[in-house]
Amino acid sequence: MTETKPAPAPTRRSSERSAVTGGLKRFVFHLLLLTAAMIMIYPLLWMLSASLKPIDEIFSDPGLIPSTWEWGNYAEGWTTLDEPFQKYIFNSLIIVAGAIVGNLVSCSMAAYAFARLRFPMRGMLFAVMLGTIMLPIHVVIIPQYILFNNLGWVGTFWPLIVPKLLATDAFFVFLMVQFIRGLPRELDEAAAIDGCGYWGTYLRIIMPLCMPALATTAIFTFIWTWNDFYSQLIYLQGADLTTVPLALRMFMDSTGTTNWGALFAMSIVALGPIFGFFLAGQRYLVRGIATTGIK
Amino acid sequence: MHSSNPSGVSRRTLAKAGIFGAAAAPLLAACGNDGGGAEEGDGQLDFWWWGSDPRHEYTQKIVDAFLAKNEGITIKPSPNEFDAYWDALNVAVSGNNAPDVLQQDERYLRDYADKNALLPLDDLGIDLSKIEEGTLKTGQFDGKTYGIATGVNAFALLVNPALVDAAGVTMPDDTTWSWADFMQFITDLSAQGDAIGNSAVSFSNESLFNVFARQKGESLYTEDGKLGFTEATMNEWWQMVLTLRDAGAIPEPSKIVEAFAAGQDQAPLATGTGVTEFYWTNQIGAIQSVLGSDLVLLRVPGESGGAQPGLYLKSAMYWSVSRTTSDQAAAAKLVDYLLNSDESIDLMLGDRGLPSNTAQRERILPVLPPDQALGADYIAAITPGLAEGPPVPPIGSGGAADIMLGVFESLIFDDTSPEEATAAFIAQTNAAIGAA
Repeated sequence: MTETKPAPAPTRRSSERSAVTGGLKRFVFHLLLLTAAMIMIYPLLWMLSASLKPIDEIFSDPGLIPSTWEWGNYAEGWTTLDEPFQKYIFNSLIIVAGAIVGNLVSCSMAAYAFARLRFPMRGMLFAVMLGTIMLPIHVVIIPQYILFNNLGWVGTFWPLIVPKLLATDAFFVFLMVQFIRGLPRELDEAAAIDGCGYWGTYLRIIMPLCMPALATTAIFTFIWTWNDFYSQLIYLQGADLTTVPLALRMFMDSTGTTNWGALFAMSIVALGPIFGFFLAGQRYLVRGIATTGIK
Repeated sequence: MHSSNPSGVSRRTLAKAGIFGAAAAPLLAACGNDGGGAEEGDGQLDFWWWGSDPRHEYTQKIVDAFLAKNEGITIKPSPNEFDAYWDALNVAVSGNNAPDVLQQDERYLRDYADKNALLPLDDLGIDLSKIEEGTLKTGQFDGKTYGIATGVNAFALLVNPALVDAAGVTMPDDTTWSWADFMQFITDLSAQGDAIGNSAVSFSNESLFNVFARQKGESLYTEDGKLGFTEATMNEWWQMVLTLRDAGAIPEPSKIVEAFAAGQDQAPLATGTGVTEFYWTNQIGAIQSVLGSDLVLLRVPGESGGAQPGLYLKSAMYWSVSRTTSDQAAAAKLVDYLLNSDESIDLMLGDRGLPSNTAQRERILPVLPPDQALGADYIAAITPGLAEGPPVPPIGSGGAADIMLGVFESLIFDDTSPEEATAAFIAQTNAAIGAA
């Protein structure tokens, strides 16, 4: 797509010259992009280098290359808390899996209803749903907590997973509504002619075409749930169900000493699943965009 | 052809009704729930505290020892990190799920007590006989005890004697020195040595300012919850900072802010790049272990020669019981055990401050680790001369630390003058404590 075409008056010299300058421009362009990327990624690189330095060097030595390679930070961080770190990763994965499944299923169904179906108060309900995006979490957290406390769910994973099964993430509902609105209604009508009801249209026509939106939902749900400190703190407090963000916080202590090396090492470890998931999910994003049903 | 769902209304209405019904039931149940305090307790205690790993470990051992002695009681311990502790506690108390026994801090004690979240501890049968009157008072207001001090700390100036010698400065006499002497001392240290005299971070600590104000006969807060110092006093305080900065006795403003963000174990004193620093006595151990060499404690300057000595014994933290505890008797037993029993104090030593139970304090004096012994000797030395302790901070005082830091930063970067900084602090803190 960024191919340079040879000049329309094709004398050999000018076409060679423009090919060379075209290549040079591309090289410089890429160099600039790489530099910008390096600058933006610098905090991550710093964290990576800090995880490999001994603790007293982390803040005193500003360079990226550690003078001594302290692999012990990883071993220490893995074992120094109450349980080995894989237990916390496992707990986080349970919540994340539940959240992703819940969001994919419920948000797509809600989006399909809003985008394709007619029902009374549809407009008002859509507005209410958008309104919930604007509520800061601190407004809802207390009533939510009371509700879950009375259900006896505080101290379990349920408060973190069940809301996802009820399409409470209005952001993703909205995302998918907009996506589905972009799909032509002729497809629905064609399906109806062939005898598809609501479920059939939803499952066989709309969902396969929604791959990019579903992939986006899955990726963002993963990232936000994996990093969600506050809700996990509130609901998992006092239970033996510590997750990755809570575990990372336990390395820090503002009233005492902080094990910075282990903290950064485990932070790098915690980044791994997100990175991997993003890499895997990216493929679906791109593939979905490239093969839309619009012909 | 396709029409809208013919029986749509009834299905949707049913669904709506179902959801509303399911949501309403628990809320109605919440209305009926007016808190515990049952006569017959259920022996189940939630026990929350904050701290770092070493504290979590020994507290768990104390809990195990308690359980061994008290069958029929079960405890669910829940340690946390300081900042996260308050977030979680806030929601738990608001959500009617407060822990039975919890640690409290003087910044928030009044807040929670006024919200009716804490149980008065006077009549629960906890043995308070060995705790000093003055220390007990720090957890009392409106005539009731809402928190019992776990232990006491005091402010001290920690000095690295090796660096003082290296700079060729003589150690001052801390029983008679004034703030002017102090400023001279650290200016000399900075000028003649490689390390900086003081990192100035403590000048943003409102508790240290309280000591300064008390030396002039004033106080940070008054009994009835208002600010108790004059603008002249705070102007003098800020002027000291500026004088020190201009004399090169303290680091550049940007370095001061960096040091603050990096935390205690990266502070100049701990890393050997600073000679002195104000700290609470229970922080000595952590700093000495990072530094790797011994420190000396000096009294805060200006103690003699003021209207009264400004130092006071601060309760490091408190034990409180929540009003909605499911078993008052068991909670009282646990608090009593934590405060008074030999096993508990043997494990705790000075980690939560020097034990408030004076008999226990004397008992463990010989076995204290060296850093805690240092603090204990210091406290023993200053206690006889102390004036009456300050009143319990008012509600909203938890924000004063951040306000002071913000004002301090704008001052050292010359964005405000001392008078403006004082006015800003007073205005913002008055708004926070509701005394505007």
